[in-house]
Amino acid sequence: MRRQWAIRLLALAAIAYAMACGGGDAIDGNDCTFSLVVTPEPAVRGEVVEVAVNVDGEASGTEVVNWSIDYAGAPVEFTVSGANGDEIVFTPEQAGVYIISAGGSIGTSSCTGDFRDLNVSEPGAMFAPMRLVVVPRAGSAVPPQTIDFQLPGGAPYTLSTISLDGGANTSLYVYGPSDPLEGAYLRAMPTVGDDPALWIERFSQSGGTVQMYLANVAYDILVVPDADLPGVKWTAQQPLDLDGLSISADSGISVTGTVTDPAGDPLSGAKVQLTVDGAPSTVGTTNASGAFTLKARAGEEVSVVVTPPDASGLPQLERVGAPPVAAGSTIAVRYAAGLEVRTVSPVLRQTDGTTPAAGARVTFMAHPNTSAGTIDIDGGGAAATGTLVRTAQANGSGVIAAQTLTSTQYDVVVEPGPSAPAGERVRFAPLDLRTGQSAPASLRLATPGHFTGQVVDAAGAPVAGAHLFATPQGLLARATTAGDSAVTGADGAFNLAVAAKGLYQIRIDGPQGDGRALLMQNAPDAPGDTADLGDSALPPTLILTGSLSSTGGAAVASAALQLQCLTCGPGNTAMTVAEAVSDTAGDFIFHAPDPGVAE
Amino acid sequence: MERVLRVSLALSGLLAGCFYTGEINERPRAEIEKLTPGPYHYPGQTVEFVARKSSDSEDGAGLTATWSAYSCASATSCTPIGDSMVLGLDSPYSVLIPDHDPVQVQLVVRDSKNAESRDVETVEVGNRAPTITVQVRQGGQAPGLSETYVKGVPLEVAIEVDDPDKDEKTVTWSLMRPRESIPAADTWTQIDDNVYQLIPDVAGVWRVDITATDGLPEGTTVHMEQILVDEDQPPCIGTTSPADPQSGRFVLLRSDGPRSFAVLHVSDDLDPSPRPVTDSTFVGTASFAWSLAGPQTGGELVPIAGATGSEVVVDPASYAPGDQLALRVDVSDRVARTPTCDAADPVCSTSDTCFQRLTWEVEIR
Repeated sequence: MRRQWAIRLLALAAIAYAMACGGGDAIDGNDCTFSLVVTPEPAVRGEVVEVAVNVDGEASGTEVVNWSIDYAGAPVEFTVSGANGDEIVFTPEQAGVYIISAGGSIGTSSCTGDFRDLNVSEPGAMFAPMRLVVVPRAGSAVPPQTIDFQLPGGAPYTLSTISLDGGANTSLYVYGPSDPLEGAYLRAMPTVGDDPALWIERFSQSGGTVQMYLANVAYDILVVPDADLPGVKWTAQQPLDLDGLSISADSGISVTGTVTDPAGDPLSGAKVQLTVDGAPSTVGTTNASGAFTLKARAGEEVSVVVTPPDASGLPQLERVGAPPVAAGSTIAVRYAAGLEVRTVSPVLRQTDGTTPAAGARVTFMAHPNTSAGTIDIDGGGAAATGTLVRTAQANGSGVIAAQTLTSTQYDVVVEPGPSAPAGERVRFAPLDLRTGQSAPASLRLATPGHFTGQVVDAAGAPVAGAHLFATPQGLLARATTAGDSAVTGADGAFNLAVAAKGLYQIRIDGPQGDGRALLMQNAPDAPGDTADLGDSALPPTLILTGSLSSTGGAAVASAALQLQCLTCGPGNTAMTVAEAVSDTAGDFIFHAPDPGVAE
Repeated sequence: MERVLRVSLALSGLLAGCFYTGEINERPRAEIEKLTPGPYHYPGQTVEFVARKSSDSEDGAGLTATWSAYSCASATSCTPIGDSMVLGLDSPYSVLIPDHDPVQVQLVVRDSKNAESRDVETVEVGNRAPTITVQVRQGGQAPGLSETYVKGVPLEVAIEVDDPDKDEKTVTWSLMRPRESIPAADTWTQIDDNVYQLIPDVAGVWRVDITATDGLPEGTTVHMEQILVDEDQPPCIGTTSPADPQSGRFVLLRSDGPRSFAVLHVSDDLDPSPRPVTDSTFVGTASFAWSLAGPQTGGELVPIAGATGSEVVVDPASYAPGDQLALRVDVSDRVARTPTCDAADPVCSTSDTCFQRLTWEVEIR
């Protein structure tokens, strides 16, 4: 696949050769520069393409132009026209990338040659919106950035040379209440797009200094001090305005409050945090009187999270869209009077129901409760949503410490320990712990459910060596042992072991990174059952090439690239369809999904 | 008597010269001017000439130039190159040089009274040696990603030989092995005219000499391709997202939503990630193993099942503000290696710049 680039090098070598030797000896230096004008660009297969040389420079005399056109490693015929042979025409018989080069001389001056990658598309090619995410290697002056483009289907395509935003060297200084802050977390997020791959994250150094290269776009700046200080967020900052500025991560405002349990008694050990205009407050912890103090920024958009101590059995409360906070604001958190708690201590066992599951873990996940309590800010009270997630690990006898939990309905995930026998897998099941329901004496692991099927190519032929990744979604995503991966055999068949009743994202990668498919799939309802997915087709692909350069024209090497198709994911969402790394010349190659050609 | 006769002859001759009153036509002057610069030219090249410096003091407007060219294997053996051409003095005459024999270009300038002159110019034809382009390919050796090849793994040495003069050429290969090598039957195998397969049995410097010649003077090119062979090198984690994991504790806000932690690039001699686009059967891809420590694991690092790809996603909604996580990734290639660090170490490396393990410390806010 590197052939095309070798051909390009050869084309350049041919130009250089023509400059050095083509006109014989006694050729002077470059007093002339050729530049190619291609019409139309891009071109369409079967339609005539005209190429002309524009000459810039002082040279005079007989003009000699040495032309070449290359397609997939083979020369392409063309007809020379123009008074000095400085124009050619050709009709591309194949769609794809043509490399056109011209070198030569004028009088006794050799000219600087030019080459052009010409995309020739199929008639009726369909287009897909794509995004190239470029993440240069650490230490590069080039900041992460994206390039959007429309990819035509049916033939190889090149983005040619992409001139990247060179980045503005930006220094910021983070100060605490009195001194520079070292170790503060700083994140610069482009205001357009929400891809974390574009975030630039740094930690302040000695003197509070943060140095980074920012692209020429607006950024939101978030600073979270590594100290008992609230975060700071600046929005829509231009790099030029930021350079040299100091960010004051001072103590902010003090917010006080209380947390009371369902009985109205003070709840100690609860942790309270606000997020104000996107900046997190410090975490306040209630004392024996249920009182807390935290430091935050004054602001309008406020959310509150209250995390009670595990021993209380109460759910975490969260209120979003809370009233503004200002210096002196008070918060009153009240758990609903009707909440009840109970204690359970099931033994974790293997699937046979008797053998203790040593080292296994169980996670209780309560169904959300929209009236679990209220959170009141300066008199503006509203219901808060309660959620409870609790994980406990069994000892060698499968026994877990007694867990105090809110009396409500749960989903539980029982996960095998590190030394569990093969075949002991995750159980994902409902558990009713409402008042009056009996507490379980034991919880069991499960035999896995299975996704089976066959990976095929666009023509329906089995694909060997395809990689599959089953990643649990939703509540099951909290489990670390519920996923699986597999590689297809010669017949393209696969078998993924999963937790019954779970929701999974299944990613299928072609054996050589050629094609990717993404599925959302429900696992079978019962352990041991199999869901046959049938044939899963990898999309047809085409070769997409390009080259990265910085503003000064230097190659951007070892940059990580992600190719996103903005409509290829489930529900026409964005999806990363391929990855690549630029080589020392800045060149890259992808297998990109082929948008196809209209019938 | 004899004296009288001599004087008479002299006088008659003198009178005849002095008293002839008709026109005397002078021959034109023929001069070849070579437009294409350079003393040497090459087969396949078009060389241009013009007769514009030719002249005739009397009837310059009526001159014609007859051009012809010959390829001369020797002083007595010349073959015409195409047909002769009659052109105006200012019209260029092109000769396509057919081979390495000198080319004689002859110009005959004729005036309207058929008086003519002739000029001949010999074009020396040079020879250019063949060019050799070599590509060595084994695994993930995209340029710059790896500088060595791996012992015991086949690699291909492919050449492309071109002769700018389109001469017949012959190519010979020779392999220079390290002294410790004990070659087997399949160490050095010709695949086709342009490709050899090498299976290096020892680490060291191997060299392949490729000689291409067209059999003419100055017509030989020797390319010496040095191939550095080493043991399989451990993979090195390159770019990550978030970048620079060991630089501090990263903050993940609940409002961020699920976030990918990814190794975007692993460099390796045979198993890089992402796998480069190549049809090489020797290239593989790095393997990943992820572990997570958090409240739900009691603070212990536990493997994340099924997480064998280059990224995992952490959902901050699963945690409480202030929770602290450790997310570790270990990369490996096809070779089972003895760990160079303790199982509890957050990083593992074989050099200051080559890490096989990294750990992100994350705080949920």
